[in-house]
Amino acid sequence: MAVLKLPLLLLLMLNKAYALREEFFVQAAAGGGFTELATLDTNDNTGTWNFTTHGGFHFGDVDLIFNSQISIAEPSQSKVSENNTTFQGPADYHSFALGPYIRYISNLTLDAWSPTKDPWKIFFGAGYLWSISTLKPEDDRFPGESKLTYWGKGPTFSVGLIEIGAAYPVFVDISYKLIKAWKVRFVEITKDGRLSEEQRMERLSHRFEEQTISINLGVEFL
Amino acid sequence: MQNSLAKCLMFFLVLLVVSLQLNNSHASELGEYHYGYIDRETTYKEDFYHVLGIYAISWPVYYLSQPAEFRDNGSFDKYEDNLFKIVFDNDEPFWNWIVHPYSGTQLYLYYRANGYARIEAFKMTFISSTLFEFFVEIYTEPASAQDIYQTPILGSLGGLVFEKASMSLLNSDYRALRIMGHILNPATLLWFYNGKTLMTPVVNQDLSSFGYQFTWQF
Repeated sequence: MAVLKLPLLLLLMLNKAYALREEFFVQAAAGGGFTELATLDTNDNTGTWNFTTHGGFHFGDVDLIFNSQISIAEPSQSKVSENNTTFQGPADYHSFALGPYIRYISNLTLDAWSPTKDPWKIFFGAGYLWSISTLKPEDDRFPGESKLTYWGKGPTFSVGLIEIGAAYPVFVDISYKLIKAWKVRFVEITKDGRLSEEQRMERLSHRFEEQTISINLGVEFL
Repeated sequence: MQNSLAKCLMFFLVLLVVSLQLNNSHASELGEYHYGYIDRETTYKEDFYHVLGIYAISWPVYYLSQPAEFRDNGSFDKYEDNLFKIVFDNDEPFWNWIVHPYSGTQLYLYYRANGYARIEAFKMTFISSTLFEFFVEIYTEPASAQDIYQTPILGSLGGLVFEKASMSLLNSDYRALRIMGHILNPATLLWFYNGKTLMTPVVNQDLSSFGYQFTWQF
C-alpha cells in the first residue's frame, strides 16, 4: 500500500504546481498530406490524413510540448515480408507517434494580410518521435485477423503561423516527419477485437521508413 | 452477457433521464432552468477525495466493461509484474481512439460538473486516467503510452465539444433535446452538478420593475 502513496502524492503536487502557471495549453489539429512508405525495395506514395495534438507550456516565445501525431493512409503498393512470404499490394496503414517537441514563436508578424483581427506570428518547431505503425496487407494470403506492427523513431519539423491573443488561437503549419522502424511484430487480433496478441517479435532486417509531409489546421482549445 | 449488461445500463440511464425530466416539470411552471458551469476554487483535500473516489470506482467499472478479459487475463501476479512498466500497446484503434478518449471525456465532464475550471478539469482528468493506467489496468496489461497521453488530451477535446453541445441541448425548449443533452453529459444529472440555475421572472406589484430571480442548488 505504501508504494501507492508516493506516486499519488507526487501526482497531486504536480497538479497544483502546474496550476500556478497560466501558460499551460492543449492544442489539436487535423490535416492532410502525402506519405512515402519505403518497404523492402519499393517506395509507395499515398495521400494521408493527419491528426496532431499538443499538450505543453508557453514559456515566453518558446513552447515546450508533448506532441502526438496520428497518420492514416492506404498505400497501394506496399511490400512486406512475413514468414518467408512477400506480400505486395494495397494495405491499411496507420501510425501513432509521441515525443517531445519545441516550438519557437518568432516576432515576425503578418499584420498586413492577417485573416483575423488578432496578429499572426511565424513559428518554427522541431522534435523527436517514437512511433508504433500498423500495416495490414489486403492480400488474401495474409492471415485475416492479424497485422504487422513496426516500432520506429525519428525527427519531426514544422513551420507555421499562429494567431496571438485570441481566446481560442488558431494555427496552421506545414509539418514533416521521418520515421525509421527497427523492430517488427506479427500480432493477431483477439476474438473480442480488443487486444492483439503478440505472436513474434524480431529485429527488422529490411528497411521500413515513413516520410510524411502535411498541412494542418489547429486550435488551442484549453 | 456484456451486451445485455450494456443494454441494461443504457435502459436505466434513459429511464433516469426521463424521470428527472418529468420531475422538473413542476419547477418549470415557476421559472425555467438554465444549465451552465460555475467555476470555483478547489482545495487539495477536494482533489484528493475526487482522485480517490474515481480510483475506487474504476475497479468495478473496469470489471463490468470487460469481465472476460478481467477473469481470463487478470491476476495480482501480473499486477506486480506490470507495475511502473510502460509500453506502446497493440490494441485496436477502436479502443485507443474511441473508448479511452470517451472515458476521458466523461472524466472531464465529471470534474467540470464539480466546479473545476476547464484547464483544472483537464489536469484532474490526466491524474485520474494516469492512475487508472498505472494502478488498475495493469491487472491485465502494462500501462500504455498511447492511453496515458490520449485519454486526457483527446478526452478533454471531446469534453469541450460535449460540454458545448450538451449545454445547447439542455437549454433548448424541447424535452427530447434536453434528454439528449443529459445522455451526452450524464454528470449534469448527478447531485454535485452545480451549474443548474432556476430563473424565475419577478414583477413588482405596481409593475414598475421587472427582473429575474436566480436560484442555485448546492
